[in-house]
Amino acid sequence: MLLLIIRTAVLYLVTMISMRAMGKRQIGQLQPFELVVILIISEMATIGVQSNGLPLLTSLLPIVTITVLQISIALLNLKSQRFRSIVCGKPSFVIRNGEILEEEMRRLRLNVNDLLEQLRYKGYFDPAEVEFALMETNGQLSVLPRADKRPVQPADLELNVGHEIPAIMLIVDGVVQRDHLQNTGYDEAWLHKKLAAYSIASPADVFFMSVDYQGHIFCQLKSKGEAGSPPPVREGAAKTAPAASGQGFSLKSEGAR
Amino acid sequence: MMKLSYNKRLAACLLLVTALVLALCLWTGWYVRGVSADLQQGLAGMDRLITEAKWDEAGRQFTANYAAWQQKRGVWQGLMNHQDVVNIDLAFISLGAYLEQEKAEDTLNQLAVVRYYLDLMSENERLNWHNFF
Repeated sequence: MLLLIIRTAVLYLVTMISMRAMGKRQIGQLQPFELVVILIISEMATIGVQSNGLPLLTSLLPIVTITVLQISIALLNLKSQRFRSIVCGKPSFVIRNGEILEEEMRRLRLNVNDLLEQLRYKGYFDPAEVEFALMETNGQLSVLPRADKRPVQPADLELNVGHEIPAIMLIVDGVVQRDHLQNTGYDEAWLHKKLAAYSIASPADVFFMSVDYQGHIFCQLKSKGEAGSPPPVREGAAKTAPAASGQGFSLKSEGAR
Repeated sequence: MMKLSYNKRLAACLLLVTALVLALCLWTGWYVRGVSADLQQGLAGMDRLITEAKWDEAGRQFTANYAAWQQKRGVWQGLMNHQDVVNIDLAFISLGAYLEQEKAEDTLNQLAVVRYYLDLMSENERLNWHNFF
């Protein structure tokens, strides 16, 4: 039984390393051949776990082989467009200039209900609202709505919304994210000063704290027993944002804009 | 020193892993066939000894061969189906028992079984169309 646990752990680790080596695409948007790879690897790992009578190598070698093949194909995909189109196929229009392309749908073996369903997923309940719809190689539908049906963009209203950067995590579960803090251009002294201003003794008491490019701060304390956590602190942009600091990304410089 | 791009380093790693995997596979085939041939060699001439009822001599040859198999079986277990290794074990044990009982016909039959299993293992590792399908 102990042997079974060790074999399972080894195969789990090898499978994890193999999936990690293949890259992030494996987990998210799967191409048909990537799905095949995942199915085979999972089956190989299962055989090794279930069959104590087979040497571990009978599972490990195929997993390593598939990983090598998969990474090689991914590299060739990067280098050759022709190879990519053979392995992954090409995206195809199913709606062009507002017209549903029946012939293309037949070729993709996609019926109208499937198309309408995918359009609904994208938030379009009426195909008449769609100018272009593309079936991507991973089976996802990309939709471009008609110009008069799409949501208004700031550019349509000639609004200057400036440059936006996602909020940066400063403290997560009581741990100061030093790399992030450095990226913002602030330092720990600034962080401690801010915490003191909110009457927080230590970063360890903070559940989550972030700052956005305008200097808006969000800070929530850790929950204390049944009383729950106190309401989070929200602070607006600092009026006196410090000057930009040297090279690289700096919230201080963004905030000063 | 020239610094290779990420993709080139990755390709080099892939080549290295491929070479290692192929080397392991080729070594496995070579090792299994080698051990099988050695054991077959060790069993050679036993039929004559059994037919001539030279049981002591046959027993000594068997003991030496069985000890050689015992030395190799650990590595075989890491390379081959454990059931196949158990089959060879059983064939050897039965052969030993028949030798002790000095039953010529049964011993010869069992000797053929041991040889068959050893041949089978060796053949299973050979790269040919028969094994491919």
